[in-house]
Amino acid sequence: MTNSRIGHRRIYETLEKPFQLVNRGLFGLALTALLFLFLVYLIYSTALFRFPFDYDQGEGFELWDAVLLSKGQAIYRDNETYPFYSSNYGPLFPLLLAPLVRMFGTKLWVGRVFSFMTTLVVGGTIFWIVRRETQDRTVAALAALTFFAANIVYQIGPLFRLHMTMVMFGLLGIAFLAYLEDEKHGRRNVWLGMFLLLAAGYTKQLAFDAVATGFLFFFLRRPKQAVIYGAGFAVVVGIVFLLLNLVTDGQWWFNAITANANPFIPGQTQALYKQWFQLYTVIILLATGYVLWTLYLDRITIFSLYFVIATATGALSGKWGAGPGYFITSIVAACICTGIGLGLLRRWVNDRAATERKESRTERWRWASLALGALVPLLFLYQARLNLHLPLDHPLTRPVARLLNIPSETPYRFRQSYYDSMGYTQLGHLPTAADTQAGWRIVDWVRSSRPAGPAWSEEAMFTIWAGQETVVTNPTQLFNLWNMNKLDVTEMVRMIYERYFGLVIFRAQFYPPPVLEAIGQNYDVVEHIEMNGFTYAILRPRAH
Amino acid sequence: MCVNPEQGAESLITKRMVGVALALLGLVAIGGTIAVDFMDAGKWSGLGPAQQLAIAVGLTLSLVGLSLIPLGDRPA
Repeated sequence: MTNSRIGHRRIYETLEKPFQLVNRGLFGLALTALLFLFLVYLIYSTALFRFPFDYDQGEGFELWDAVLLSKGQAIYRDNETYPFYSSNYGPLFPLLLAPLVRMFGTKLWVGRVFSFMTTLVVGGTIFWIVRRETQDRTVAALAALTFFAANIVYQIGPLFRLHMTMVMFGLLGIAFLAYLEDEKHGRRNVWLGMFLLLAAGYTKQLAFDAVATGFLFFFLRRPKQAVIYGAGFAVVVGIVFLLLNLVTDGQWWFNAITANANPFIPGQTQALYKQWFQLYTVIILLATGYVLWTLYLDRITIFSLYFVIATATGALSGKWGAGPGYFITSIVAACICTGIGLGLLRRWVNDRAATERKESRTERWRWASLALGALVPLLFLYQARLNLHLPLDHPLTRPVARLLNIPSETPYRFRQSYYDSMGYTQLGHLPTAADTQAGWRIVDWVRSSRPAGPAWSEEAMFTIWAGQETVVTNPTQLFNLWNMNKLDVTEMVRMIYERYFGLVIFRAQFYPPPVLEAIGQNYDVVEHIEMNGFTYAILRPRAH
Repeated sequence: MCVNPEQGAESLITKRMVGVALALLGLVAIGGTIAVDFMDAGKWSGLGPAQQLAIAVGLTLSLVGLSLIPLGDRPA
């Protein structure tokens, strides 16, 4: 052994321990940062569980769908007759919620807790997959926590919306199909995987990315069987589709398919892709690296396909009414690919350091192992910084905001009490006691105007809390259909001119223009009420 | 129907096959996007933003596909 090699070895032996300590500290720091963001998620979720009104405009309508199904009533209806209401999503989510709503009451927290639980299942599945593929618990935990740290996951995770349930079913389907070649459980995995993909598709139509991923992977591994199973799957999908259409007298096709064919805005897609890349840069680049590795150097995995197809599906975020939520599946896949990629890389480098026979190379691999031990947590730490979001006025998060020098006020915040690295966002802040009071004030308006007629409300919860027998209108559905020239508003305009409705509540005024015009000519604003950062206009019928 | 672990090994999808399929898919995407203008189906004169995006995706698919073809009979 030469003197210089002995010298190098001594340097390594001297520095190994301190480096390992630093690396452990960095892993601890990354875990702490991500656990802090998970704590923020818990704070936000519990705040939403307590908030009784629509935090996001669609929540009350999804609750109402569950109520209708729990009473055995249809959710796909004729939009042109009173109460001018129809659902525009798949039936599975309200079907799952119907017994829970029956059991716990017509409350938003039921669906919010349900959605929150689905995010825990998604996070747990990410952990399980990465750990199974890499045997690396630390990286698996970091990857799973990165999912919860994602801005958009945080924002819509605990809402009474069906998106997360779709993501969960899709991911579980992918997780089972990933092991379709398992000698012992291969058959079970295929059947369960297909069943879960079917569930995802009938939760929300957007799940076709998971379905396409599953069958493409199936085809790559077992082409003949994939064709046979795929044909069977298509038949089942078709039968369910036709039955739904038959039972609803064509309203399923009209409301869930036709009404969702909204105009595509390329600029919106470009802006959302840009935002997605800026917020999730680390996991996107690492996942891309993993995809390239599987494409050129190893076998294509279901997870690399999932990332590519889900990312491509993000292009649909340019549809009117769509948004950054369309990238959640891509984020899930990126977390998995990142975790597997880094976990396998760590294992490979550590194995080389342990088994390399040439002493000169052993040292290099040991140094590489140490360097990777520092790099991996730093990457996750940087990703956590990119996703930083926190309430500025909560006792548990306020000290961190001060530590990070987050200004208490900036011009581009929806609410000054909440910081989000995404920039302007109407979701994520904590609703206050004043918001709840304002909501009850609107409910009082609905109750007091009841003798004059039912309330026409742009959000469902006010009328639900007031005990009104039905929710009147699903505004965006009416607006979409109107824009496609597929809605006749004669009946609703006639009822407005008759001043049939005792009260009108507006928030964003997403109604067809003739409806807005009719309301403008027959109803007067009596009060503006601020709730949750929005201004609600309360209108009463003009005297005849 | 059941999954027989040995059955899949008989008909292997190779990197070359995936490459050819991707290259063709990309070409079809590009061709289809340009054909929209010949049929006067687009609302923009020339290539609109959605068409530019579709052509970029088609081109990427084709290039990735072509780069996979030299990998030959390795399993995809």
